Amino acid sequence: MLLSFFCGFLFSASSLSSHHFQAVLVSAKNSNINELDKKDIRRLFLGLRPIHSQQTNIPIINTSNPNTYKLFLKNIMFLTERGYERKLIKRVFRQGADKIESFDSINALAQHLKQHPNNITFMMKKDALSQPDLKIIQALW
Amino acid sequence: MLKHVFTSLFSIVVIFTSTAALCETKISGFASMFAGIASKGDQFLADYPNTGLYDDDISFAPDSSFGVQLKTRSSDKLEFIIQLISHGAHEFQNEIDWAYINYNIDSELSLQMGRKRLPLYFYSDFYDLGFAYYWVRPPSDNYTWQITNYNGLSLVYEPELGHWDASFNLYLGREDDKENHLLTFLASNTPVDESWKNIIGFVAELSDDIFEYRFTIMFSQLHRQVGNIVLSDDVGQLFYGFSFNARIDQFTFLSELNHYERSNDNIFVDTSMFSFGYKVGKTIPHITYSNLKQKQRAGNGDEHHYTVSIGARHNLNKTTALKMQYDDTTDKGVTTPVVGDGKLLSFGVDFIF
Repeated sequence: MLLSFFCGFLFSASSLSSHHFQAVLVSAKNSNINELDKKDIRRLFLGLRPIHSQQTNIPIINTSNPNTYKLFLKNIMFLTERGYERKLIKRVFRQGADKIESFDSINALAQHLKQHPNNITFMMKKDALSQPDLKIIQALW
Repeated sequence: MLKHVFTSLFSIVVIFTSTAALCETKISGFASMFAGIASKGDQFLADYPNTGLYDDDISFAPDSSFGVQLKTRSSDKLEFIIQLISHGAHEFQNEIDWAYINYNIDSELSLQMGRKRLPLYFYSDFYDLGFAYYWVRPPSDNYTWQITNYNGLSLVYEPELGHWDASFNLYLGREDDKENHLLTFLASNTPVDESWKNIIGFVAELSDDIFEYRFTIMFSQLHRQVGNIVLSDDVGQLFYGFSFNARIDQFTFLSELNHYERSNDNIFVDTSMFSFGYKVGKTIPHITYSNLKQKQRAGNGDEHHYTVSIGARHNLNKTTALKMQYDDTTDKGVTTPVVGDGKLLSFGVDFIF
């Protein structure tokens, strides 16, 4: 009994930690966006067109949690915040790329995604699961 | 001043909102508002291409500018982009910096046709976007070119290279500039008409989070007329340059080496720039050395000037930066001086929207 209690505790602890530290790509529940190549996610968030995907998705930057934002930049964009923002500004004003909108509130972001089914963003899995109007497209890390 | 700005803004918004019902339209923009005073010399030429000239009274126009960019998309493949700018140095007259159609051939390749910035130097195609760099303006001794735009075709290839971002740009075009601002000023207000014909150029850029490399080359034919006298008639000119930037932790290193030649006129010019910055919280103090040296030729032509600049940029937030800069220019030209030695203190704000 002690062993099963211990195993159960370990299972729920690992499940809790994976939800807490796993980030996902999300969109509105009613969107028909399919899984994207991570290289395409990087291109989209740089204001470039995706290579492997035929979908025209619009990226939205989630700054509601500074740590998630920094991890996204590190794990997916391979950039620091300073480097990323420098690249974005140059893309908008040199190449005429679209400005990428950002939200610092999860609820406002979820509301925006609900109204724009072709928009995508990143967030921690636990935040995505707490938003009934969002669907998880894929795990990011 | 504000009247010009609002007139231009209003005109653009009217044009684009009338098409907005059919196409998706996006608006963005930028502004730079700076003041400065020359503390040595009667004049200080801070901004060559726009002829931003300070004197020993405080001035607010030479480095100030407002820009509005509109983009309208008629399909996934086709976009129209326009950028209108008003420079204080040009009495806030409205000028079109960009007006081109962009056609996305595929995910990595696009073709543009229309009016664009001439991408000679590292900062040439976003020279007016002060928010994108830490100086009040890019180092003057490097940025002395008189033709800033061209009308033509541009092919841009942006491939997938892992963690690196790459861009290759081949462009063709021409520019005819009646009463060129800079040359007319340098010719003591005698009108100078300048044409760059058969422009063909190539720019390669590679960058990751830390390093940036850029190579540029351009060939064209120059036609220059001063008053009624033709000084150069379809004379070949060549420009090439290399830039290297690195941002490691709090350190920033920026550099540019460029060469210009018009061998038939025996004109050879080298420019260079080296800059160091160190980020302390939201502030980046920086120091820069820039230099222009023309190879001396018989008769005249010995343009040679260099500047040491120290300054700081403070980021108020993600869209606004305060800047202050002190420039000390030494003009060594004997037969071809520009405006002589000069010192300038300038300060102001850059923002984007």
